[in-house]
Amino acid sequence: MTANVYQLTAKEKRFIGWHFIVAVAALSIGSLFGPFQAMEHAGWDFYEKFLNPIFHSYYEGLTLHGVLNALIWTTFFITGFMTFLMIYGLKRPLRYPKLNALGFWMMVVGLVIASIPILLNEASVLYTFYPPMKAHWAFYVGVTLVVVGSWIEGYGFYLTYYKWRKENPKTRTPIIAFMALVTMVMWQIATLGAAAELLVDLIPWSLGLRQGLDPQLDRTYFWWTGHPLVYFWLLPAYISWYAFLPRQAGGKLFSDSLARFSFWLFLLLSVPVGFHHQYVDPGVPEGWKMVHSLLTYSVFFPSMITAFTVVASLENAGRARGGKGLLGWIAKLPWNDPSVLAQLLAGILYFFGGIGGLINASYNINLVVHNTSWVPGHFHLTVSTAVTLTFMGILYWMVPYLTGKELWCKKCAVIQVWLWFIGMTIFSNAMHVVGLLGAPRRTPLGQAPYIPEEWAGHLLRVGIGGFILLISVYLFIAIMIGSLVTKKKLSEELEPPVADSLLDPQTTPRWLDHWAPWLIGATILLIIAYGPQLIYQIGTAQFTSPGFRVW
Amino acid sequence: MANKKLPDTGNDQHEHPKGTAVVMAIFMLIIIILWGTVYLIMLSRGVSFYG
Repeated sequence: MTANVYQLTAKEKRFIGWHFIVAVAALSIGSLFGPFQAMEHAGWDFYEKFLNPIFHSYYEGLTLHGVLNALIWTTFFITGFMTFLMIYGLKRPLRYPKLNALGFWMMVVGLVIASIPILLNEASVLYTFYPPMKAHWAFYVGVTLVVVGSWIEGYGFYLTYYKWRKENPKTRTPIIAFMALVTMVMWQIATLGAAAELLVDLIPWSLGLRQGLDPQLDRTYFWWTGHPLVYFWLLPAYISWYAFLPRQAGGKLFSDSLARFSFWLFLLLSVPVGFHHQYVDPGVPEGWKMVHSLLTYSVFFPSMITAFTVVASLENAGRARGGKGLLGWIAKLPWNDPSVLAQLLAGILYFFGGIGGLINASYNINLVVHNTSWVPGHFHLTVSTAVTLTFMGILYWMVPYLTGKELWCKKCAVIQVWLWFIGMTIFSNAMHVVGLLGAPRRTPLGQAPYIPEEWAGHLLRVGIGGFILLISVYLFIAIMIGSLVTKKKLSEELEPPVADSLLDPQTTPRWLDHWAPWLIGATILLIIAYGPQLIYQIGTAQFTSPGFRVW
Repeated sequence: MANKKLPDTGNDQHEHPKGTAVVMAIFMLIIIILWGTVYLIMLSRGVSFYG
């Protein structure tokens, strides 16, 4: 260890570890239902045979899968990871650790409150809420507490950073702390939409304090949050790809400046794009859909900066390991390291997820694929692979770092990662293809009487892929448990693999470390992209829709 | 995974990432092919500018 590396205290490690324990616990339950849905598509209906009456319906399982995996696994992992990034990056403890603890426990309480109505089949509205479907009020209150808890943890980060900045006015913000802060700021801007939907509409409505609501307005509120939610999941994965993976692979970050620039662009461009999820909504004018469509395409720019910089960093690593020729460095990367392997394979599948994203953003194609299984096929390449497989890879070094124990069964971890890659490739490809053939999403296709013969082979592949993913995720959970209970201690403390930059970060231009212009820019862009439509939609809203229970 | 003591790593030479350029070119090509394919699938089903 070098002298300037901050050593996290045992208490700080435990606090971060609790985030991961809740995250993995949520994943262990939520992931049970995803493969069951996939296998249902193939005609193997475990819901009816084994899960009933504990779990009452396909939609209860789908809600559990979405809420626990997409909201809980991610949010708890990310806030725990950010806590590490802030403390280790700024080389100082949190300024107000009790504030962060308050945020964490608020999220836990929210999780419990939201879970009860879901498990009682009183909130099978899926993780996107979909009003006018109406859940029990406790579901909305619980989700709100999870979001507010994550905000409070964010306030703790800001106060820690403020203190650091006062003491280090001319130093570039360490990149891992910088990226964590940008991600948290983006999240707090993004969740204003969901906050409005939950606090103004859904909670009062579910408590009987309001008679009706306007589904169009609530969809607009939701997708203000819904798309940047994807970037809340992705940016921590990008942090690992930019700031850890190069070191793990034996190289250096290709460009500190490019990495920071891409994060500022994500802050600017992630949020004002929600109408591309509402192309089929008749209440949103075509012109505004086009504005959001163009802004969605603009996110391709920082995405390509990320792809270029990460691959260039890996090329630097591969060449340092003796790689020759144009592509010979690829084989020299440490593919046998499960943490590196997970991130490399996540990145490979994410290339295809990115292409699917461009297709989704294309108005005329979106109209055709929007309500088909193409869409879950797409987001299983993004959140379920680029994000989840990367998070698994992070835990493969983070858990030994936090516990001081060896990773249990490293070979099992390599197998687990390959199984995820293979299972997801089969599953996602089949979902895309059968979606193009017209198969609807959010539908128990095993019960549908209208399945044409040409779908059958693809639905079988959906089931096979889901089954392989089921094995993979429980192998991952076994490795996590094994790593916690193993008695094999590390001989010395691990050093987190934070990558150096090829150029000294102090040479990064000063404008890439200034918050004000980027925050002002993000605000102006949001006002332009959403202001007129929100004023119009609120002004003409018809709060007349009753609640529906369709499950 | 994290090494116990991380060695000094990487190539400090600021070389042009030629391999990366090739990878990105391949990626762009795949984008064009797959994006175009989906358009063609839609058009082959009779979807046209006239609805």
